[in-house]
Amino acid sequence: MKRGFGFRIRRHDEALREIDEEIQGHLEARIAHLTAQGLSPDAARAEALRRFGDVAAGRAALLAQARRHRLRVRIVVALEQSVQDVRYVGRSLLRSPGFSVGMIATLALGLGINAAVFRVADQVLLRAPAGVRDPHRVVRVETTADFGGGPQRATSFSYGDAERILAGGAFEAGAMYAAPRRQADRGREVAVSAVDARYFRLLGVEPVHGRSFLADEARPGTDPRVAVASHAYWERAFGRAPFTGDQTIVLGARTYRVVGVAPPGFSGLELDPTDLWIPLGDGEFGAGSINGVRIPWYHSDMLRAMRVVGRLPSARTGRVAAGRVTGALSAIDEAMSRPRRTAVLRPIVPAGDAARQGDAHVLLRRLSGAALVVMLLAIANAANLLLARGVGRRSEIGVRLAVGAGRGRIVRLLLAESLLLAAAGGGAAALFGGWTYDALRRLVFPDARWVASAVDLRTFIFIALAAVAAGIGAGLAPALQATRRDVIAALREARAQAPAPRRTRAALVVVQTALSLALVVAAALLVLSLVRLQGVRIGFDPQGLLTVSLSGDLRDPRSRNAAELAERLGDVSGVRGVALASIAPFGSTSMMDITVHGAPFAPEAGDDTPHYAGVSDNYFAVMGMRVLEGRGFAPTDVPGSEPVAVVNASMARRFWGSASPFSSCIQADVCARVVGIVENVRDGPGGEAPMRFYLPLPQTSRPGSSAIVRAEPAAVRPAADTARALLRPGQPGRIEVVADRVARMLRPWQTATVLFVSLGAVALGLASIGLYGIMSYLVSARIPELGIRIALGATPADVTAMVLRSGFRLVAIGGVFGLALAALASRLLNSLVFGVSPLEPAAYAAGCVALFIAAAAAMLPPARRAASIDPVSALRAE
Amino acid sequence: MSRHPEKLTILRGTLDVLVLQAVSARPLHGFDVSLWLDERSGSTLRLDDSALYQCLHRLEARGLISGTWGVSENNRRARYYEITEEGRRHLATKGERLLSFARMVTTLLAPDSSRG
Repeated sequence: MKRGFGFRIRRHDEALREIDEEIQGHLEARIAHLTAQGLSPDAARAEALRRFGDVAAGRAALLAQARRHRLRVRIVVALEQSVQDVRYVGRSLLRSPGFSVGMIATLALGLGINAAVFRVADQVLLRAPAGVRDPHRVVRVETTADFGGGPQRATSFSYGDAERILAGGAFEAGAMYAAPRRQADRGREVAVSAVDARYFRLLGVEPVHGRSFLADEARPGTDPRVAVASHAYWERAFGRAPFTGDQTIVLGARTYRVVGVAPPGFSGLELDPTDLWIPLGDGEFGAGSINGVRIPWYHSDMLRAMRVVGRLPSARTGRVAAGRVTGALSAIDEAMSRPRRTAVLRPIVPAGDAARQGDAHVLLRRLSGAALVVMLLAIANAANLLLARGVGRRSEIGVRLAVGAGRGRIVRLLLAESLLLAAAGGGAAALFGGWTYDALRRLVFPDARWVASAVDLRTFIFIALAAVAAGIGAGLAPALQATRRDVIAALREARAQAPAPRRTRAALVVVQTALSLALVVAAALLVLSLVRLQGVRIGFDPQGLLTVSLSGDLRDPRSRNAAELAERLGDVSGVRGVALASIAPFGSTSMMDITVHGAPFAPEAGDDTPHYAGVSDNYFAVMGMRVLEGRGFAPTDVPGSEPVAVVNASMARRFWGSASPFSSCIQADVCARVVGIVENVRDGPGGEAPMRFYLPLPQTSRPGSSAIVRAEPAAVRPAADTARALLRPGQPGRIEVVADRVARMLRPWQTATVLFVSLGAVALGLASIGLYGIMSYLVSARIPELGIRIALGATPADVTAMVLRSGFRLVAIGGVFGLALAALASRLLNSLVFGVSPLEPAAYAAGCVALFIAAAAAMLPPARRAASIDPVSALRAE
Repeated sequence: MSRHPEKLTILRGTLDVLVLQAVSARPLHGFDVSLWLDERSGSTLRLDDSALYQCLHRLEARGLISGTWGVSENNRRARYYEITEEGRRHLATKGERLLSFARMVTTLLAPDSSRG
């Protein structure tokens, strides 16, 4: 710096001196000329000065001009030099394609995976739902209360509680709405959410066409049959037709007038996009769901369907507002002598349905961690590769220093090399990351709404910054190290080992081994849990099973009833059996007040109540459920014969423990004697199965609403098509291929497994490359020594063993650290693994075996090379 | 450009062409150029020598002339300016354009000046 400054001063002086000399010469020539013409010296001098003009100003102008010119020249030279540098570096990289490809692949993998995970995390965890004004001030109300057995979270409220919360003055503005439900519009599924009149205004969402809801329309019981469509749904349903205000949509058997269209992008607050909003006053919303008795839902304290959102006066007033919500609920809790509920206000910014936040989000967070580890590995690898190259180029750099190249210029060349590699790696990472991102969103969040943007600027900036940081970080140290040496030593010991980089590289390999082993163990844990998951008995056989569930008014003579459907479906070829049930095997449930006579245990308050279903006599057989004890239903279980019931294993355990339930009866209208125990049908792989009991459909007053079809696997889709064709126009129905449902349920685990296994493989690959690099380097550094050993009689096998020993020493150190790290980190995977302890020895053993194989594969080629050293040439080189 | 209102003032681009013309035959130092301009114009064109040097340096920065230190006829160190190839091309095109412009102005103004 100091030298550079002095340099500039000197050049500056020189320019000024030349200008002065030129002016001086000019004036003297002019004076001489004038004197020759007969002027006195004084007069000539005065005239010369007059003709020149302002000498000081002229001199300054000339100097400024010279300076500008020099700057321009300097810029041009610098540009030319950089072009030269890039060309030079490009050529030298092309000369060692192995190194270049290794670097670029390393960066592409490390950064690409990170960019993809970052982008998904950004969309799912960090970005507010689109279209909401000031989203950081909008909060969702949740409560926690302890009913004994730990705090329980509630995200939905009864209508009365929601009213109380909104009247409590906690928010600048508030609204309630029901989370979207799936309904059918002419055979298509539509996500419909019921909202109050304040909903759109609260969120700052102005319809682009028409209006939002009026206060009257949102009053329960008014049944206005109007709807607001999301922009996407509007385009799907009406294409480019102009909005008229009297277009209609048919949901089930009801026709709705579309009175407004939401602005593009807005699709509600849940991760699942909402297609249609109806006002809370809608007659169909919440109708007829409690045991077939039409209770006005807004009078029921049991039906908790309302979500409450509020807008805070400022983002920092959350605590005050939460206190007010708690206060608003405390009176009713006290009056009902219930445990007091405490309000929690959650920002809507981590968008997503509270229930869905679970698995996918945990997975995403773990994945981010794993991706970060892979990036660390990649950077370590890049540093390792550049270090190796730095060592290899020591003699080249020595020559350059000797012929007078400045240290600065060499550092610049090495940096240019890192940056060029970073740019190429970054470009590859962008491609690879884009591809991974698409794969991720299809695999993990297929139903989520995504902000459609072809080029994500933030992701691009992220990749660019990370690539440059990795490039400089990985390149600077070797660059400085390579030049921090005196010329003679560099030339003399061009091939001798330098202790410092060797230790650094050994440390890098240890770190890489440890990190990759931890990732591989994590992947192994997930593979094991997926294997266990697929082996889990879910209580029925999903393959070849189809359910057709009807909703709407089943007594309407214009609708198909389930019995009629079952008959027709039984005729489809490949169908082996069709059963009927009052309710679909999954999803919705029916409860009724029951008394169990003769059971040693009575369910405690706050316990789940058993759900029930009326089923046809072949139901258990068609579902593939095993009857564990007693009998299933028979065609003889009809009205008039003895009322009977079958309980599931979960209910049998809770009510009867190890005692026999067969002398007990379940009292609803009549007392139905328990005649059998069937296995539990699980909704999800974890947790305890809910209690259920079954009654013979003919003995209940309920009509069948579901047909369950057991078919040859190949006949499932044709049967589904037949069922679809059988539905009357406008009849709401849901046709589900059960195997798809089960697959969907397993998807988070499958995804986690696939991703972790790929990350683990990438990590192992990176570690192997690193190991290969350092082993090759160590071997070439030890050529003279090994040559002597061979000359003294060491066999190739001895030499190979020696090299492998030194390599495995590093691997062993890294392995010990890696196992410890895996044991510590595996606890983070707790919610992602199933039926596997985080310390499962098999996973750790598998990780070690994988590491051993990868290490051996990486070390064998250098070890072989060591064994084939020719002692004569090795010694001569010395 | 000139601070002599009674003399002809001159536009920058024009001066460039005139200076190029001055050094086109042989290398000249600054004072020679000034003399050349004075003689050729019959002393009607006068500009500050300071402006002339700025012009010379500007032309040199643009690569139209090149300057080298030499020794003048009275044995002084002086900077000699020589026209470059690029300078010649510039002189040819710009000189031609200037000439036709001057001819046009002359033609246009001729009747007026005869009447006046």
